Amino acid sequence: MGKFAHFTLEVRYALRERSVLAALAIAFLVASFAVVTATQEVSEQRSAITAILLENEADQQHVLPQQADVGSAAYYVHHVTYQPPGALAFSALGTREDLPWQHRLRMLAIEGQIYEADTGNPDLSRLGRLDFAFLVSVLLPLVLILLLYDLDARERRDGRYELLNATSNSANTLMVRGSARTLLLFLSVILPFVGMALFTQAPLTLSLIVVLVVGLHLLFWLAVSRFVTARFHQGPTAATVLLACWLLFTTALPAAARVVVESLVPVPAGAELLLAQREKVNDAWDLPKAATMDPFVASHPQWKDGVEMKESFEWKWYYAFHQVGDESVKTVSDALHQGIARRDQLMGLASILSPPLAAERWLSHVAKTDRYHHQMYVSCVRDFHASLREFHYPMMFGNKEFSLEAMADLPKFQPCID
Amino acid sequence: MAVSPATFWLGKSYALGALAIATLLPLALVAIMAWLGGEWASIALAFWLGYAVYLLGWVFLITAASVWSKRASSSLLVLLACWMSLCILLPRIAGSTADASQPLTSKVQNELEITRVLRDAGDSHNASDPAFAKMRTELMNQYGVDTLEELPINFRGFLADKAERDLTDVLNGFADQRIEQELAQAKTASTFSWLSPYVALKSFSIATASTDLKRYHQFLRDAEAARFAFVAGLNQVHTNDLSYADDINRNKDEASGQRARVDAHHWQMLDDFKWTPKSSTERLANGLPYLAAMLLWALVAAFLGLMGSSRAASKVNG
Repeated sequence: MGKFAHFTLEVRYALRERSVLAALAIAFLVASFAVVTATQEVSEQRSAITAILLENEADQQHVLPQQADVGSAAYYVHHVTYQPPGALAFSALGTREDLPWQHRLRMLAIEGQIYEADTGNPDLSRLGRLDFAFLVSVLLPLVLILLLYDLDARERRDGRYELLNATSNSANTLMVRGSARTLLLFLSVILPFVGMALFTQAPLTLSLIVVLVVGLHLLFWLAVSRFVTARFHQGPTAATVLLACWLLFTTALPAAARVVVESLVPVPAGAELLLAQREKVNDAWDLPKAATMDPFVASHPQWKDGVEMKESFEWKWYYAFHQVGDESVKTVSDALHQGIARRDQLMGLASILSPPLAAERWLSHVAKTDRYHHQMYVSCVRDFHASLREFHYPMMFGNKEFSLEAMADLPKFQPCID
Repeated sequence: MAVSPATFWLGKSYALGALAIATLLPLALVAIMAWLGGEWASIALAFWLGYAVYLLGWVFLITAASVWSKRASSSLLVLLACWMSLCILLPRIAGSTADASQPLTSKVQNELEITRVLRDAGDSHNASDPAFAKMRTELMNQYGVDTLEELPINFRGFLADKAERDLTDVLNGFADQRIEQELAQAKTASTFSWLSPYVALKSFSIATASTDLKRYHQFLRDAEAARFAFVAGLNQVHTNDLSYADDINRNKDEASGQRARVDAHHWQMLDDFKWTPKSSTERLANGLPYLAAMLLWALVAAFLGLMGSSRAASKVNG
């Protein structure tokens, strides 16, 4: 019997078993549920972006003409920034679930605004969410274990094992049987994904990477299953060992890696940073003007002739102390940003030890919903905020006149990703 | 003496049940400690009981699986599949379903929406806003004076107070809307309690411990009430204790700036804010539906087990 014929025979055998069919059907349904609900979520995010852009435009149109000077224009005009969902965001919601991907800002201190995030519904975050990446990295190995743990034991029990041993290479037969079932499982979860990728016209290369990641992850678990079931001849024993492997790879190793990485790379506490920045800005009201203007001129020497004040309150002083407030926590803020990036890199390194973690990271990377892309978005927002300052400062500290015509060139946010 | 399958099933459940109760010993200790620490005895007991019922459900599920399966390995298969669906899959399906069926509007969306509503309400920092012109005339007529300086109260403080009240009304309206959205989501998610005892146990735990969504919303409302009382208090001080003349001249020089200030002791009222858990009856009542769901699970599993063992008995006898 040829290899291919043998393989198709095993596929037919597998499809005759009710428990296998049930497992495949459930995997298919859950995968479909995951991609459909996530696609719905992504399309809601897209329409939310359109809505906030329109609403903000209307607000700007209303607010800007009422302003008599550059200071109140900068104070009352808000800007919206956002990170559009990537083409494959439906396959891994990733950081879009718990980290901010949209902001509404003004030219006040950026440190006081950039960490603003949606609170979400605590009742739902307690339950977690089901997306394709979770299905692939956590549930899929478990389903495969259920399909494969009993293969050797059953042959042995039914007394065919010795016969099998005599007639052909038994390990080979069971390998083919295992591969047939793995392929079936692979197809039942990848079809909903491919369907949705085609439906949403996702880029081919990225979609192929997802297919590859799912395939490789399943191959790893096929290998683990074969390794374990060939050594533990009792079904329940094999299942227990496989479950232990599952726990080790999906939960224990990633958790341990996180603990090690977090202790290796300490990051400053965000709350302390916020408080320090906030106090710096608040205290400035009561300090002599020079306490604000001197450090401001030190970082912006081009405006050294424009910081003279005639009244006890002038907008330029207000914005200068917001700028100085940002600068006073810059080292901490940079350390936080770099620490998070470093932690993420190390977790990437650690994922070599845990294929489920690696699969999850790959999927969210391809979907552009990982830490890396979130930090890219944050940097993009910071650059935009800096461009706002650059735009307004000549009218505050320099000789440029404030006018509605001049404000027509007010920077507009452009997303840096996609 | 032959042992009937039903007796066998019961014995097995009994043994497993004892084991389950043993694993609940640490929880019993913690519950007792909580009681000694001031928690209601009924709450501590109910909390422990909830976990016992949950584990009882699993005990019956395990013994039911074993009487229905021909082999140990197939009962293991069934149980693993149950655990995966009930404890990993369904909770997340509950979360995703609730979110997909009633999506929350984002913070940015809400802010923009609020901004739109407030556009007509005027800017309380700007006393010459047309929306306030009418109010100013009315107030001066009421006191029979011709200028704002002659008013016995500080017009700016009066305005700030009025604006704060209006703003708070609008914001509370949005907060109520948000709370409704979250409750609707939670309701959808909690219907999964009847499908998954794990979801039921989680909901039961937070309801009984008074750390649930309702309590959280209560906290938000309490915090907002405290904030409003505080700001309204400051606005009263602004209106009654700070003269309008000092107020409008605050930016003239340092001394005027100092005159336009109120004492720092007005801030201390924030210390009075206290968080209190809900009453024990309310907490027990909130947890009850989830306890019922877990109980139903245990009963169904026990019924399946009994049915399975009587089937086995009829096979042996027939």
